[in-house]
Amino acid sequence: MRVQILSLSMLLATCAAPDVRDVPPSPQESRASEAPRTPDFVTDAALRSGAGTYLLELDPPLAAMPDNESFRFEVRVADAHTRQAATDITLAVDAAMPEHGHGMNRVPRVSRLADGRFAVEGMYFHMTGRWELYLDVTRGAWTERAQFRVELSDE
Amino acid sequence: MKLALFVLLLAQVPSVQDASWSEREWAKARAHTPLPGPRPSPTNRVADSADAARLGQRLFFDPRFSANGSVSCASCHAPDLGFADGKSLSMGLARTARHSPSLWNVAQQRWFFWDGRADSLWAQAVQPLENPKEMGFDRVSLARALRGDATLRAEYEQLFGALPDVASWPERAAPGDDASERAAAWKRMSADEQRAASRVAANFGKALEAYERRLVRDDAPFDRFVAGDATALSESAQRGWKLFAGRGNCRSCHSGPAFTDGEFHNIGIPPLAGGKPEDPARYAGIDLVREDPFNAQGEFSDAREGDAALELEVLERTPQNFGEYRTPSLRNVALTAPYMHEGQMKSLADVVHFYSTLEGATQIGHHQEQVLQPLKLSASEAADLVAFLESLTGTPPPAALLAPLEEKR
Repeated sequence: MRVQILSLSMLLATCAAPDVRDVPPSPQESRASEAPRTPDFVTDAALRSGAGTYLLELDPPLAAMPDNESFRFEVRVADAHTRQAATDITLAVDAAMPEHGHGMNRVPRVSRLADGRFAVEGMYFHMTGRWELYLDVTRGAWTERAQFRVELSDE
Repeated sequence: MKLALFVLLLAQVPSVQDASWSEREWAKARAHTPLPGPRPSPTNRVADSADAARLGQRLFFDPRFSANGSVSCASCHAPDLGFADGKSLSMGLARTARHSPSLWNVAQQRWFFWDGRADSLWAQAVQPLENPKEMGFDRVSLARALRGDATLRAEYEQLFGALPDVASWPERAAPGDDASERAAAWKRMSADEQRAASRVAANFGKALEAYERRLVRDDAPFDRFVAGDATALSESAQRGWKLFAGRGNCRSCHSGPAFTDGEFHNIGIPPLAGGKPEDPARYAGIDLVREDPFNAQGEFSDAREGDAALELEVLERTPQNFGEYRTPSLRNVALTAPYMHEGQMKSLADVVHFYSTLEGATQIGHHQEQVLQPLKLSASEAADLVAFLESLTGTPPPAALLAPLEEKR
């Protein structure tokens, strides 16, 4: 199976979020923050939601999503500016084949795990071809979509 | 000069006669073979039991489990008719609404019936037993019949425990909203009696599933060709594969080793009786499978919490499901004419002609597959595609599996 992922969001995430941890802190910064920095909830592989509010890290990643097989994945959702877990949000997941005019024929079950992660179960891409994966992050009355393209091939 | 130019142009057009496969065509072919073993059936603990398969084989060919004593599973799923019946609409006690699907490699499926209203093969098997147009039997009569046959009773009880005492039960009883006597009798039974009778029906289905899981017909010429036997496919069939995997886009839905995505699509096949499609098909099937007391979440399931139960939980019904039917496997398809959910098409040539022209295709809003386009095949291309489909006919299992057990009862 070969999977290609094309995601503008991913490119943006790569460009807009350089790994600041690799930059050595200045002596002043070291004195100012003696307590160790809270580790980021997501890694630099995280994808960005449509308006850039959230970072989402999928495990297994998009590239490992199978065709014609039921699968589950986990999602970490972080606020993009703090890189810490977004704990006051809800998550809904769906997917569709835009060229075919249909989706998965199912709504995956999303459940919140103990440490701020989400489990997404009951996913099924029943055809090869271009899928769009939608992760809708809702905080209060505001929903922001993270949308990623998954090209599935069985060759 | 003109002639020379003509010859040059001809040389630049790829020959439609070329049967050799590109690397990509080989890669695609390898996604279809070999056929793996049956899918796991976690909700049936005896799914892979040889004892259950033996009992299932007895039940499959036995016409006593029908209201008139003459209809068995094999009536509509005849081994010599591709485990189908050769008719457009199947005939049990009466004519049914749909075409009998083949049972070859049936354990590759995830959903059963054309509308997927059963989520396991054992849950499927219960429905024809009691359908008034099919076998017209009932679960109380079933329990009584099993008790009355020493061999069946012994084999059943070895697998599933004691059959219930039916002495005080009505003569016939089955659940239903109709005004039939058997439905009224069912309502008079206690909940415990109803549960005991339903458990017998579930176990009847589980034994049948164990048998049907062995109806494997693989190792077709296509499999042998991809495995390296260069003589296994005719040139016509080789060209047919190129169309199937290329311009035909057939493997968009007929994917994987079973040549099906296991899901539901509307390809606009007009109803057998003419007019507009009125059969909701999968649109109704989703609710029916969720409500089926024999589904993965039900009390007769052997895995009520597992992945099979999750499959039901995440199902969603949308208007798009109206008129969608399950994608049939194409393995052994040459054995099972006629085709489609009402047997609308008499031959594979007719099927290919439909995809070539979409002649007569129905339009019900925008629910049909948007990727479906007329393939505009030439006569020789259509023949090649049929030759390829015919190359998917596999090697049958031992004949003893395909007939009533001969051993003395």
